[in-house]
Amino acid sequence: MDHVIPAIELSGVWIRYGQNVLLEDINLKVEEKEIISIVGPNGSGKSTILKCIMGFKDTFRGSIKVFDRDPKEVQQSGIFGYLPQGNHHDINFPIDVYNVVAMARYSKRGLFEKLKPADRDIINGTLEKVEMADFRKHHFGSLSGGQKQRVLIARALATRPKILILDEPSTGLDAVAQDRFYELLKTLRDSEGLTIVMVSHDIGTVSRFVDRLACVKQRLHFHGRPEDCASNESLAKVFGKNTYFISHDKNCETCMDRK
Amino acid sequence: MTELFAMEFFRNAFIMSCILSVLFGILSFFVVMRKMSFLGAGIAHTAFGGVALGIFFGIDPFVSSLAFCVISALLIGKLVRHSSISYDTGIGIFFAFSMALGAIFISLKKSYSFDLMGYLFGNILGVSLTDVLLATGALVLFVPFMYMFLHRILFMTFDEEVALVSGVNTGLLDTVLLVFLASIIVISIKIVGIILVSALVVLPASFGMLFAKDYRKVLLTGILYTIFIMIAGLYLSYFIDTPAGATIVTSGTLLYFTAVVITWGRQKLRG
Repeated sequence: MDHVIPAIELSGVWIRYGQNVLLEDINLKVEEKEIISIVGPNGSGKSTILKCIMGFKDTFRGSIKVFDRDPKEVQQSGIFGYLPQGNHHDINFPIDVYNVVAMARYSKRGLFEKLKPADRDIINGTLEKVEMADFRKHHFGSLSGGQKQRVLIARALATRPKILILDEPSTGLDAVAQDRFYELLKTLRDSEGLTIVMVSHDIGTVSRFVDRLACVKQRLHFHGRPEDCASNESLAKVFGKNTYFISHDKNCETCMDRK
Repeated sequence: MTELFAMEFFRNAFIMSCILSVLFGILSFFVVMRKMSFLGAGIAHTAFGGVALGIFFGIDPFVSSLAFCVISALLIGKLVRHSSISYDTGIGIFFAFSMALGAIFISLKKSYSFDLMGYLFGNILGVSLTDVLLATGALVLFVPFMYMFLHRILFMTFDEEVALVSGVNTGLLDTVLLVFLASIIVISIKIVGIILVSALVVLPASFGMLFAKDYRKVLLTGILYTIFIMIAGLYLSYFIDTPAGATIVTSGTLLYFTAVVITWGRQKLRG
């Protein structure tokens, strides 16, 4: 049988900050074209895992491989499309939507950064995919939170990545916008063949859209299909014993309360 | 007004003002947008230590202050990248250390015959052809550099971590920008002085941002504004007999405040 190389593989990863253990013996495998959400409360080490995968952290014990290579080696190869946490951009930054996405293409060009027609097609194409093509001349700072997230996703896609890394992508989005956003991710996974790794503290919503959940609180307490998480006692270990897992359909018409 | 050009110092100061306007017009945008305005003041004050060091050891103060500022800028950059120290803290440490070092060197040198006030507040009478050539050299290196890497630097300014994973060598670009910033600040000290040069680091972009929502227009507006305030400041200082650096910074700041009031008034009128 052929050995399939996983997109991402963490084996026995430990991270310490001084005396404190931030991550303890994390073993996590993400297959290609899988959508996985790492969930856990604040300070559980979710974002640190993402930083490790992208090669931002040097001081860890264990092994991390991205398509069987060291993250530092592939960090600048354009393999990652990255949406960082929160809305940290200066709303006064003088730039329009088109040029935010174009940044991703300029960095692919040589000296003088001259864009080719193919680059423009990619920029316009990704803006259309995220339904923001009509806003290409709009000032980025004037967009709503959900629109900004879409533009930043378009920028991440414009690098033509193999892995999309999203840190708390639903922050600032209302329930309807969140659903649309996660649907968009599934469409992109299918059309672009992307592997998507995201971090969220909202286990309820995200579990409807992902293939795998990884519940992290210092250790990896659960890794598997979302439906198996509901009955798993590890949920209480991660989020506390009074946590209820609400599994519901798109319009929440048949909400089902499971402990 | 043209008769002033018969004087070599004024001619030199005029040409240098135009060159510095282009340099600061561009640099200012990236410093302000990266929230590193304090860096301009920090590097400029670090120059004081360099000048005093040069005087103490009998080295050309320009050479010693250039070396001092470039090394300090790079050390601040390294400190911030490889530790949990913020830019403000790193700058604050170097700023005070260098000023203190400068004061010690000056006091140890019992007799000195140089224009300390000129270094602190600028002196256009001291602008030589060598200064003009140095500024031209900075222009010849800096403008093509920006032309080649503008969008990568823009990406780094907007979102540094994302720029890095998208293939931008942020560490190298940041280092080169810091070296340019330190060098250009040291070159401009002759005209505006150590204390006032930080105004040229923050004013151009701040003014441009009032009127433009596109980075290219902000850069252009910043350059034109700086040319205007530097040339107007030079003439004004000659006719009302005031220090050139102080006149440039005062008139530039007043023009900025006027623009703030006008844009604020326009916004109010639009409701």
